[in-house]
Amino acid sequence: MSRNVAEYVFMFLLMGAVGMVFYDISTSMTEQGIAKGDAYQNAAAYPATLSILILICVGLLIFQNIFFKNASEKSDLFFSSKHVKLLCSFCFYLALLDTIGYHLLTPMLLFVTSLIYGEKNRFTTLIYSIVVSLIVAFIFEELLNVVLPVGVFEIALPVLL
Amino acid sequence: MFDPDLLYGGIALALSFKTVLLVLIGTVLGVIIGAIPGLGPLMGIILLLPVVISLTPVEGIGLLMAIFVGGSCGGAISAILLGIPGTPLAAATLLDGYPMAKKGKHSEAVGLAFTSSAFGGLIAGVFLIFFTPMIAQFANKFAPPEYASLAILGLVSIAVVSKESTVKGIVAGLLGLLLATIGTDELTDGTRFTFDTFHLLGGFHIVSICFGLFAISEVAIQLASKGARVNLDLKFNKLQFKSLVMITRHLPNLIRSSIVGAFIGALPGTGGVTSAFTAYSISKGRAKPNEKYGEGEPGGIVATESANNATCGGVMIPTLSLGIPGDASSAILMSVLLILGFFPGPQLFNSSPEIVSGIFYVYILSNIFLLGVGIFFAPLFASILRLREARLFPIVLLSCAIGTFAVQYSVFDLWAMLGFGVLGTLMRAANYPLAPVVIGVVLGPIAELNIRKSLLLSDTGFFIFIQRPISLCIIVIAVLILGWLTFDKYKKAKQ
Repeated sequence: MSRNVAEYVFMFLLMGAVGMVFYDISTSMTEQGIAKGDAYQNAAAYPATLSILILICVGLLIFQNIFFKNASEKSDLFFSSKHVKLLCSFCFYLALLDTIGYHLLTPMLLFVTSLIYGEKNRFTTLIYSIVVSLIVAFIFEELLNVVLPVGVFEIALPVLL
Repeated sequence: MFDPDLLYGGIALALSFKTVLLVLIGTVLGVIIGAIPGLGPLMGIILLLPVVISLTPVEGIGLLMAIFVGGSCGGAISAILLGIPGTPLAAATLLDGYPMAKKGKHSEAVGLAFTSSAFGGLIAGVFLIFFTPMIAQFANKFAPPEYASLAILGLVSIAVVSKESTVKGIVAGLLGLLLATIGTDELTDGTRFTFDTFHLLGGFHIVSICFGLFAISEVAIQLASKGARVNLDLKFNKLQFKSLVMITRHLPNLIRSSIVGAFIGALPGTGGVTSAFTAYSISKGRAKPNEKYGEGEPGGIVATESANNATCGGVMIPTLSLGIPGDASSAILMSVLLILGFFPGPQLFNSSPEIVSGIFYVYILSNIFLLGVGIFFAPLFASILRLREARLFPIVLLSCAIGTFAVQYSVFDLWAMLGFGVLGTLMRAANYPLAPVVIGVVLGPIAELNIRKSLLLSDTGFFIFIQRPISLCIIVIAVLILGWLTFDKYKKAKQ
């Protein structure tokens, strides 16, 4: 991936964020009466100033990119189908965590991500995924008293400690 | 003046069995995390963040501080044994550590790295204990304009000294400040940028931001990297007591480098990498003719490791005394105190002196443990380097997910973490620094609240910041730093 492409995507996101700031100031914050007045009442001036400064810096960076930079400069990072697979499997995990629950879903996540990272031995990876999932559950559920999502099957570790 | 009474309050808190155990665990974990290339103390602190929220302040900070100290040293193991610095902090250690290992002196090199780090940290501890209360006492005179100026100074320094472009550093800092405005406004109780979502009423949680920006982006980056763990066939002498004798031959170097590390660490935005290379240059400049720096000279390891661990103590000076974090790690330590209801700065010294002294003790304790674990467990840490990415990074991903969930039991936080992960990966691909974002998020509320309070106090608007002598001094320092560093970068670019 070209560094410039990543940079322009990031700048686009920044400008989107700035657009949202001004949209919220002109709608919700104006309705609440916190978009003008003195320093106490005006909660919009500070984020608006930051947004303007961001726009100025983005302008400077675009200027630098056009006039002083090699357009084909490569990033240290390259994106591949592995990244898409990792992102999809993690999104799948987050989307189903509340429904399926930690104990059924987590070994699957660990198994799939290990394979994405290039692990070859599926049987060892499966055992590893189940063991790691149980160790993490033990640390959080038993030692830290965190209630992990039990899902519709209501699976949780028995209280040991 | 320094008040010795301050030191009594925290003894019981710091030396309780639970705290001592947590500091020991933190030191060991820190060394392990630091030794694995790609992780490092910041990542260690972030990964343990959800755990400390359920602990008392001294226990929690003790655990994280120990990870900070252990992680700052752990990077030296992979630098010496593999020639790959586990963390950027260990880059300077590579210069003499790796040649020493190639000469078959890897046990001595690793032992010396631990010993120097521990003593460097202890020397910085003396600075931390004596200077922090003095600065905090001086800061009692501060009003909102001074705090606002300090927040700006902290942010400017950190954004500008980032190794990437100055403008990119500033953009990252501004983004952090802007993110900090999301949620309920403290003065008006109005909501900002929540878009009618109740999930955002309190803003994005610092844990989601840190996990996403640093850990998730690292998981993505490691997926892209082709580097595999190197087979390690080096044999270790079991205990490294010899390093205690070796260090006595380098005492002036050790003391000088530790002072350099502590001083540089206390300047916001500089950090361990700068201090390690500065100490190395000074030691090299003062070397005797028979000391061949760059070819496996033990003095090189002493200089870099003592300096980078002394920096851990140094960065805590402005963090505790002024509430201005010296780097990203101390920003997260500061955010832990804030989450637990304690505000770093002079008020912390007045209201909870036992917490401050407890933090001093856990810092000292973590360095003592570092010496111990270095002597007894160096071979164990070396074996960690055999762990493969395919085993490690799925665990990192899972720890981030469950750690984020555990803070507020919110799946929304997990989606936010993923979003910040994508953002962090994109920023790294575009060569933007991430640390200023986190520091912006931590300093943002302090900066905004104090700017608005200052303007309420002022009859002359923004001139209040230059009408007050201390505030003016701070602003002048910020401008000088900005000017000097911009000029320096311009000069280097021209060369």
